[in-house]
Amino acid sequence: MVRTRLVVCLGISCFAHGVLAPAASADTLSQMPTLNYYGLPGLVDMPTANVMPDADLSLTGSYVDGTLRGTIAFQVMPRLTATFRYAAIPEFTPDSTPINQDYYLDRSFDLHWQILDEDSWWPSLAVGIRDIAGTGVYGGEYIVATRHFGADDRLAVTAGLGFGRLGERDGFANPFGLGNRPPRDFGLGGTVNFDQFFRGDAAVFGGVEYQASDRLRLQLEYSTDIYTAEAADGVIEIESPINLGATYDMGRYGTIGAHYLYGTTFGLSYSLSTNPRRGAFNGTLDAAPEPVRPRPVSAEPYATSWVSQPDGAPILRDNVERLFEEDGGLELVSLSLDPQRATIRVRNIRYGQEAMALGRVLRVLSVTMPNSVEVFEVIFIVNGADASRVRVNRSDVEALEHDVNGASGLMARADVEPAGRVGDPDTITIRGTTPDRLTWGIGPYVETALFDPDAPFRGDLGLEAQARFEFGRGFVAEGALRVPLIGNLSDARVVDGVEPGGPFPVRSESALYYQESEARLDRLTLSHYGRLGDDLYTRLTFGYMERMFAGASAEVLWQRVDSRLGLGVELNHVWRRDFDGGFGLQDYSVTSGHVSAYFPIFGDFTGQVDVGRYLAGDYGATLRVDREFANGWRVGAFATFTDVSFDEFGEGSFDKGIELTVPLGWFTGTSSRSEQTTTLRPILRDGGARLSVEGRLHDLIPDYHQPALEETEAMLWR
Amino acid sequence: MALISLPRPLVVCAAAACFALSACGTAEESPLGTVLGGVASGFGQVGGGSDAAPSDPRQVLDRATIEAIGQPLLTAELTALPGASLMTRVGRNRGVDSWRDSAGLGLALSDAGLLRATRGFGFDLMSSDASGTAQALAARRPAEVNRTMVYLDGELREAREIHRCRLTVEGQAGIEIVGRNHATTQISEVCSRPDGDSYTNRYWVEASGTIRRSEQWISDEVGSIRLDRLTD
Repeated sequence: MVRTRLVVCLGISCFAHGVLAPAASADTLSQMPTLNYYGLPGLVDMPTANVMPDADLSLTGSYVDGTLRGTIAFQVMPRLTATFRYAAIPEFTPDSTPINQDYYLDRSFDLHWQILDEDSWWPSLAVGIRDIAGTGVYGGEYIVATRHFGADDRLAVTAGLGFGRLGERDGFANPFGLGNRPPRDFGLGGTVNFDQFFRGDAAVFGGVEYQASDRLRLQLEYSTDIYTAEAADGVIEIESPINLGATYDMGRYGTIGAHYLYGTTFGLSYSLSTNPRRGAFNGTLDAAPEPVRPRPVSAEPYATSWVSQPDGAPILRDNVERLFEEDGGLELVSLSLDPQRATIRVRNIRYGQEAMALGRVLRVLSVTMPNSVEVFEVIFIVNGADASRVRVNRSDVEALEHDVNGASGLMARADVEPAGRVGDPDTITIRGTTPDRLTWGIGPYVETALFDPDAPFRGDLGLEAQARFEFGRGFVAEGALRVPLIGNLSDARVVDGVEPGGPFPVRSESALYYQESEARLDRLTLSHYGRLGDDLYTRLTFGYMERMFAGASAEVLWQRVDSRLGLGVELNHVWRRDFDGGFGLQDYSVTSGHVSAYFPIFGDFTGQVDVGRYLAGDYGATLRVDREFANGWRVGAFATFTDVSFDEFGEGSFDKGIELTVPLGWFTGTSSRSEQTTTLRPILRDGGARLSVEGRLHDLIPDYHQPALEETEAMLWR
Repeated sequence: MALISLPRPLVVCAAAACFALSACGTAEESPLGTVLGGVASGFGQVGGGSDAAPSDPRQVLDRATIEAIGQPLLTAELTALPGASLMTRVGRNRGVDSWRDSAGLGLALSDAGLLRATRGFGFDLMSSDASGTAQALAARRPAEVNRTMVYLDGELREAREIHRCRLTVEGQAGIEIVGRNHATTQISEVCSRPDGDSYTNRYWVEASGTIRRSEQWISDEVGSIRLDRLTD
């Protein structure tokens, strides 16, 4: 498979890429494995012991005899692959109760772990579990070995031991003595099927793969999956264990495959891989920054008579604002000086890499500040609140602009401290000409619900008018109005009434909000951001926070500037909103809230635990793990367990999902603070539901703290 | 005749010499700078909507215009693309000059003309230390030196490379740049990268040590840049 960067051509941005990017060289079978019909490293239906390159993210679609499978696979760590799959099987009734749908829709989740790397003579070895927590339709486990041969690993031989679905052809008694496999539980799904793993009969599968040319690969496998349930329903016929296939790598357009399966039918596959670590550019196309202006060497101390110049303050403000305007990414909130120190409050409206914003502010200060000012202090303003105070010596800025160790050198010399620890200089103080910030817009919006149990995709397209006003010291007023034009979100399933003993339908009646409104008030809130002490940040929000709830929300975050560890408390009291999307409220109200811990795990991984009360009044905890990349990508998973029992929760047993955040600049190659977050949630129900509030503190404040500035420091002089 | 827009020259705000604060202004306002307008960046565009042919400022500039502009000027062209861009000097700091074209592409060159960094090319050279090369060029002597090149990886973290370079004196060469002849020594520098690939830089160095013309490597994706210094 030839692996290339995603290419986005936007006018001039192509010059560096479209033409100049080197011809991508083909990867060998071991460098980039073929992805099988389940979207995992494998042959056709069977797995191999390979893994994708670390952090790779792949989408695979496959089709055979009416059965469609779509899989997202993520290489979580160099040895661990995780997948989420959505399958549609026509006229299939695995639990023997006829369904009123053309397709049986199934969601499944797999883990694949490479235990051993291929060594000089030893094959790579992997274990995997398919359908860990679903309905178990695809439940099967394997231990598999793969060995590559020949120059450039052109030939790969695989053999494995399969259980469950993968142990059905010519199965033999369980080699580990683990006894029988209990019957599948087609209950609610969502629970881990521990009592099944590696139990029951086992069978030996295997196959070979050959790299015929740079782009063409051929596969031959012996499959131990006999599709018992599907064959019984006439979905597929199985006459032979042999599957044959060919895949062709189309470079940046993905890989297609065509296969002859089970002696009876043909199938097709398509996969596309990307990697958070390979954006459009290794850098940005943004214009070159303002050069640093070094002060002239002087034996005498620099003059300080400027402090008494009557029009000094507006001149300094205008000079800073002129260069900020040229830069296009920074806004002056205020400026305070004394003869030796300048403190600037700045809004970063453009740079996703926070160190890059810091570097550009320092450059502008070096050009504009009088020579006697030796200390620069930069305070980034987030929603009107001071995030931190970064103190840098001007001589270091001058000395390190072109230094080969200039980025890490300047960050090492900078002090990052709580904004309120020292006072601002007070000889000259002036506000920016537009210290408040109003943004508004009218445009299209797309709202989607992916992979719900009844339909793989629902969506609405409509018009949204939104406005946001940051004013005073820490106030933010914002709102959005939405008018859906076309779509099918209102077709979603509504649970009738409240199940006895079950949670109040805080989320499962969401379709009513789509059905009973024409135009709707999406949000309308007034918030205040502030500080209680050095490391204590606060947020208060009143109003209509989300579609379904309105009320008040208060949050306190304890977050040291030099640490990734944070602790937060949030308390909300909210009323359920009317279905018509207006200002009305219903009888249901609830006090919810959480104590949250945010902590680093290791490497790129961070964790979050929230313990508290959810919208249905249930008590419990949410666990969340994210892999965060320095360029702003995040891939994470979460799960919530509350005192709503799995039976009361219903299908899925508990709330869980996957979240993917992609920074816009990764696609375009120009700096932006915009990012797109997509949550894949198998089913949205009432247990473990949290209030959705814009601008939670932990999403904002740590951006300008020392760990984030150090993580992005390579862009300091960009 | 194509028109050229000049990038803005050095910005000066707080007065360095006087004691009073003053509004920002450009250091050497040029009447021609505002008269000439038109072509943005001279670098060729691929797939973009512009139908303007890549331009070469050297074809529309003559000595008299260069003198009249009265600012330091150089032309820069990517060897992989047609067209050239006109750059002016917008900053000087500790022996390194910042140059910029009207589209916002930037270069940092030592005052002799050795490439130190690029900005805005997508796969930029973030910073570098080629002091060994600088010394050999100043002495116009063959040498074997290491240079440190700092790039970004796809995650936007620093990626450092040490390149092993060998400089060879090719001989004397007279070159002409926009109607002026220069006596130079031609020196080539072959560098090998950690992955085994290699590239060649070429320098035409005057007796004063000024690199009058050069072809210097930036990065794998961008390739090399060819620089002509139009002024002293």
